[in-house]
Amino acid sequence: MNTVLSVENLSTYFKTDKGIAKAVENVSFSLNKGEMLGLIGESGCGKTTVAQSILRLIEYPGKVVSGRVLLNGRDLIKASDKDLASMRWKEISVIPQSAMNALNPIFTIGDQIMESILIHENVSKREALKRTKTLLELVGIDGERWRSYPHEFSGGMKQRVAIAMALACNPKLVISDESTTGLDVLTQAQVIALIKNLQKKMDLSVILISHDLPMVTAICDKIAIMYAGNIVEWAPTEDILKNARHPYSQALLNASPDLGNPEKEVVSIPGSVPNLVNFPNSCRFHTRCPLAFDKCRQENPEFKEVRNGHYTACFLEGVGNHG
Amino acid sequence: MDKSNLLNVSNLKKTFIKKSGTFLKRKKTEVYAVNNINLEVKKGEILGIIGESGCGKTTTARMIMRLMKETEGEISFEGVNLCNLKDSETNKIRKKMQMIFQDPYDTLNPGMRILDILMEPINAHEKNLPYQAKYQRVVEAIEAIELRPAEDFIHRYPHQLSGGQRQRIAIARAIILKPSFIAADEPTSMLDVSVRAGILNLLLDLRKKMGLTMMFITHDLSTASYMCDRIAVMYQGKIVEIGPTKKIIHKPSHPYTKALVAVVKDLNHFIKNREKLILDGEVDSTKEEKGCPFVSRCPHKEDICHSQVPNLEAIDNGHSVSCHCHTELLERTS
Amino acid sequence: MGNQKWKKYWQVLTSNNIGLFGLILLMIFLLIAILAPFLAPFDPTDRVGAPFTKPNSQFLLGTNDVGQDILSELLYGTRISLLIGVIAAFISILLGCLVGIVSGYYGGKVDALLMRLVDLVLVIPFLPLMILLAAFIGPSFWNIVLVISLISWASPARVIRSQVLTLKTKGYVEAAKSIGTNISVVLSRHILPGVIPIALSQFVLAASHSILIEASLSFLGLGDPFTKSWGTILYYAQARGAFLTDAWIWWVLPPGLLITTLVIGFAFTGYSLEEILNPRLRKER
Repeated sequence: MNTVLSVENLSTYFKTDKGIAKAVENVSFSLNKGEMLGLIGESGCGKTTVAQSILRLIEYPGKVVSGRVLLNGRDLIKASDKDLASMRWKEISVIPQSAMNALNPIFTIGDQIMESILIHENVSKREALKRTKTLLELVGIDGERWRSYPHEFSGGMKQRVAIAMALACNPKLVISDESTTGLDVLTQAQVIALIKNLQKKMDLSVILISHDLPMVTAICDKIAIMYAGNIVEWAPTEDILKNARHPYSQALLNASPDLGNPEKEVVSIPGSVPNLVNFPNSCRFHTRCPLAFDKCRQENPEFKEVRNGHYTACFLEGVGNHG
Repeated sequence: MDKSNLLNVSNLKKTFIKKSGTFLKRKKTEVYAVNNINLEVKKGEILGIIGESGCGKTTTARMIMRLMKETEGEISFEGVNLCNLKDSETNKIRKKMQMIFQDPYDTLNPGMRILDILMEPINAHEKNLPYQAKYQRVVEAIEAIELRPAEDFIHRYPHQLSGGQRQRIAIARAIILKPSFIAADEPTSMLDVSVRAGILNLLLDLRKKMGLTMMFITHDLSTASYMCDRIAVMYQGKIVEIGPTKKIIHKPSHPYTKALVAVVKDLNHFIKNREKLILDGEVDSTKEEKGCPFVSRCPHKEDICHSQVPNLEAIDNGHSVSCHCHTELLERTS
Repeated sequence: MGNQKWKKYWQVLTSNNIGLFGLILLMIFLLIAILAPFLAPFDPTDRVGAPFTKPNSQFLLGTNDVGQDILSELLYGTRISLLIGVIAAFISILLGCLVGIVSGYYGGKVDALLMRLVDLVLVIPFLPLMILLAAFIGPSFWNIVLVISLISWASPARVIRSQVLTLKTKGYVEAAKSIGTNISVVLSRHILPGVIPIALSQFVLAASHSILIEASLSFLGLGDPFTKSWGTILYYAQARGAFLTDAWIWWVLPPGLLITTLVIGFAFTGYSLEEILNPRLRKER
């Protein structure tokens, strides 16, 4: 068995003034060793909440109400705080959305990377410094720059430092939460290239959370598409590109222009994302789905395997041709 | 000057003063936000301006829209030089040129109803119209941006609309006076992918119906290729390459454009050949560079690139590039 | 949104105990001021009893040196103190708004000049200046108002200027400019609505300052000796040696307490208004 992470029926709800917001509901997927999974969806679809639930960073008024998150067979949801603390960084770590927030402006980047090594591992200071320098070299920064402060780096370089920090304790699983959003196109590509190369080199498992479909399809092995708190489709990238089953996935693929295909007419999805507070038990996409029928308005379809490794949640599945 | 040009920009420059040093040794350095830009926008076309954040694309648009004063240069619109106009004359010309802003959450006053927001341009330019006629104009504008029925939206406040709908209202405000020129500053970058396409198609549709001329600013090459007839690529305050969209996409000539196209066309190819396409350099726009602005990240640089600023030179019909090492330039000289 | 917004403000204000308390205090004082003729047992200017009478069933707080009823003086004094506070605060906020908006919106040299003027007013030690001004232009109701306004417009001007600076960078202000809307419309439709809430909270705070200043001036004998404010009551109490005898309990303490309570009422209301208008200060609920 080489499954690193397995998320089963995870649901995270938030209490609001107006009722319960089902931010993440019944999400299941798994990740193999050395695999790169793209978790994509539009803003507010719950992809970051999934990541936070996995890391148990959900705070009041949010709560993980059900499900299991198995990291190498151990349930993170039930783990004690002490176990969890020892697993963060060493087994699972995060490259945050904004490196500005991850780096403390008053310490040198070397100090900060060293600190995370020293806290989690029993090594000497000298050893930690040596590793810090190696890590910086690994992400393409001169090791001697460990004495620099965060403000001396450009945005892309800070993101590299954040990557180095995430890798400080040799984790098996790295979650990159929109870590390239806000960077310039080329810088973004360079950071993504770095993550991809490191993933191959260190045989990492990576969850790449993003809203950028072309980028994710280019580098991920598998893709999970989220809509309004549900994963609607989870399949190998090739299958998504050639044979997307869920109407939302198809619509998403048709929504952005393609440089390689200038004749492609882009089509938007009518309507807008439903309010998740007190959402009725129906398919969450039915308000915008061109193929919706009565059943879609009354029940939420089951998320099930339709072909080898290809999961989707749609009542039209098996009924006949659609799309 | 070519008669078919709606807008002509020549030698446009904008500098900011950066103060540094201590009290007694105060140093003032000029930083170029826009450095000697020349471009023309032909009647009826969509010109894309593409570049990374801080490259000066928004500054250029703001100067053209007279929201910012240029340091040097000339902007002529329908044959009128905008740079020498008095404020009252500028306000008059604004009827013909409008701007669409990036952030739909920021561009509509949260305390005003859609009706009041759309009345604003009419009141600014055609105050004497009877109320019924003004109201009719507002309804027409809302229908033109495909929010139907208009009566449903007219009395709402912006916070009752989704991001895409707000951006549509912003577009309605820009077209309500039937301008001839619109500058759109990243109108879709804050929107979700699923509504983005709707805004792009709406703009294309409006251009067809109203005969609009547009300047479309974006950082996304695929959006630009979908929207634009011609694309100008900006880097560090300069246009490094300009030409018809097809040429830019299929025959990019500047190393910066090449890298951009590579990233968007095939990210995997870019990842494998990264070193050949771009270097991991850092750019400091405050530093005075003698040579080419791209030199610190350029994988093909030669000695000359460090010492001399390249000029924008035509390499093909309507396709110009600013690079010393461009192959066709080299071939021609040798 | 307009109506809803105010509803929300009202909710936050009333859900905030301090703010509600302050508001209730203010209401009570307002009622006292309006109903003074009905509440007061005597006309405060009439000599109704023997001088220096101790509190008894007829004169609940005794009489002063000329035989006027102190309780009636206090009740009527609420009118003057409240009126001076509100008028002075209003004028200083008006001045502050004007300076703040001009300075913030136009920027550049105008801004630099006005802000240095503000700095000047802010750093001048205000008590000596006030005494000097009051002594120079002579004591009267309107002169007191003038003096207070002249020294308290500066800090609201600062606050309002910074608000204008943020409003100015809003997309909708820039959009209005690019449409060709002229400056007066931009100011009145886009800038002013954003300034008014801030001005309101500044006004309440300024009112509490003004009341304190009025009391201090009157106490020092620089107020109008013919209007009955709490400050003048204290002035006469001090001048007639009430501080040295038992009389301080009914002559000095009550006006002192009233001043404190009114100022607290204004201050609490002002602070909670600030909290409402500045969401960053809003408590996590």
